[in-house]
Amino acid sequence: MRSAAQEAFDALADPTRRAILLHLANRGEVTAGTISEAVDGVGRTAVSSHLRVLRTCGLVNERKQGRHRYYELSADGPVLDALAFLHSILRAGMEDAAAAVGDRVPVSPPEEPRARENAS
Amino acid sequence: MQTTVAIVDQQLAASPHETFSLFGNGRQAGWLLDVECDVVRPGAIVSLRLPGDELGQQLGNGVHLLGRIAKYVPAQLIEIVHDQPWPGRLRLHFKPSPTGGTHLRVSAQLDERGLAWLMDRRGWAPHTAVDDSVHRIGLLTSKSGPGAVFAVACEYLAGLSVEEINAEGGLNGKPVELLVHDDATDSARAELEAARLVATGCQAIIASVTSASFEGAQRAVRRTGTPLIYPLVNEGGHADSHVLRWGERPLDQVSAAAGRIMRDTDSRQWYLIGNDYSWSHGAHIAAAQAIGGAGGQLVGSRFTPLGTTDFGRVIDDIRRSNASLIVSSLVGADEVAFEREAWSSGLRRHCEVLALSMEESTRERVGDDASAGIWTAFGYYETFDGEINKDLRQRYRHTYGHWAPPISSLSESVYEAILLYAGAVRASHGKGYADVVRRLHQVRAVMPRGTVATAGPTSMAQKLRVARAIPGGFRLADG
Repeated sequence: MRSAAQEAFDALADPTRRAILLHLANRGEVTAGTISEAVDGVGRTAVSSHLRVLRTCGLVNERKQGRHRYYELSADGPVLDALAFLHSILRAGMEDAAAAVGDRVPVSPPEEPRARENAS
Repeated sequence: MQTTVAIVDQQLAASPHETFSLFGNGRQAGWLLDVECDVVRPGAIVSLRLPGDELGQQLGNGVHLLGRIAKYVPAQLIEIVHDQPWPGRLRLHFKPSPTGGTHLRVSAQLDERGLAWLMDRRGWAPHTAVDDSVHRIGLLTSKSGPGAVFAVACEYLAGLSVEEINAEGGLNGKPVELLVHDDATDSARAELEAARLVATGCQAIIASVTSASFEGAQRAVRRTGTPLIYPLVNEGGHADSHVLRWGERPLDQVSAAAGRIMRDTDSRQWYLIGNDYSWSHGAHIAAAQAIGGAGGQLVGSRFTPLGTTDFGRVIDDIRRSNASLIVSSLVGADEVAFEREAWSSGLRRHCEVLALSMEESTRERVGDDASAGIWTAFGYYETFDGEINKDLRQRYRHTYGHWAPPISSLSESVYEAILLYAGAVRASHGKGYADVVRRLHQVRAVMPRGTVATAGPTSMAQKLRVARAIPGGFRLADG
């Protein structure tokens, strides 16, 4: 099973989705139309598609009001993103390890990052 | 403080014993995050490079996890505690896999400070609102890049001083809050981060960064009047009155040591090596003056870009110059790389080195063998036996643990600067920046390094001591 952090990292590999996320971080809650106007070269349909990906992996929240849908950055979005980033750093290091010892064994699926496991 | 753990697994064909034995083994330099470790034992210094390529663009260049081995069980476990770029713990578990190979699990434990650093690098800059209920002090330090080596304990010492101030009731009735920002050893980044510290309401900024970054920070506070204190060893220079340059000066460092070194070695030909920016340029002018004054002769000089890792050509040039004495003003990771290469190449068999910025943290990373015998001249060494320093050492270890990096003149100067600033604020009774700054121009106090006294914005008197590196630390040359 893929972890939330892994899903988030894959989602943010796309520069448009990253631009959308940064726009939401700066502007708060906005409509898809506003995002489409702000992010260069991306049509309304494409923005909706990107927002669906971001919402599925927990980076963005959606709220319906009348005929409009509003989007905002999820409170956990930046944390998820940072954890996904750390995860990818470790994974890249592990791949180096496999190459260095001459292994040809494929990388196993990543484990779930365990956020806020304990308090000290 | 809440902690978070990220875990990654990998199957390796080699056995746990074979895989474990590769750790710190120079023959497999690429093994796990390019780990560098001279020997696997508790307390041994470890450096792991975070991957470059597309990740590196977000991490910047030269990001290393700097720490030490806390625990190991052969063929089973290596536990690393690290302090840079965030405080955390990395565990490597080696288990036999059913296929005869190794199931390697790496777990990274970090707290809010680590998450904040990673979020910042991903573009999620912290949005710290101005808060009038606290008295904020900013610490601009290097958590990444070549400067991370010398800045390693600065945040911890800053934390101790803030704890001390708050235990005495804070400043003007408000608790002190420390905000720590990373300049990534980059002057443009330093300017941006200093501006961010000012924007979040910091009443003063302490800079434990390179001189180049300090110049960036100066640009950020030029029109604000916010006191900016540079307590570390530095080349000096004029500045606005609220910009305070304390710390040892290279002229005093070389003057304190050069005559002694020439007498001990019966040599007088010097070569200067430094980084190509304001600190080394200033240091070399001062060193030339001090060497001339002591009867020495300058036979060569070279500057290398900050971030240099290969000093082969410099070492060849030093050999050709017939110098037998070297002043190194290289900083951080560059100093580590030069000293290790000077030792492994055999240059050190013929040359003595006076290092202007090799304090305790840098010495550890140079290593016991390669650093042994290197001369230094600072106003503070961790081994000072005065009661005030003994108390500081004890509190530091009690708070940050056995494996925390050593205290050095650079990190102690941050502790001292925050206490001196607090004293000026208390004495000022809310009269504002200008009055605090005026008091900081004429402060006198007894600190773990001894008596310090400022005279204007760019002069702090302190007693310098000459010491030589020995395994585990420094020994004072004058007993």
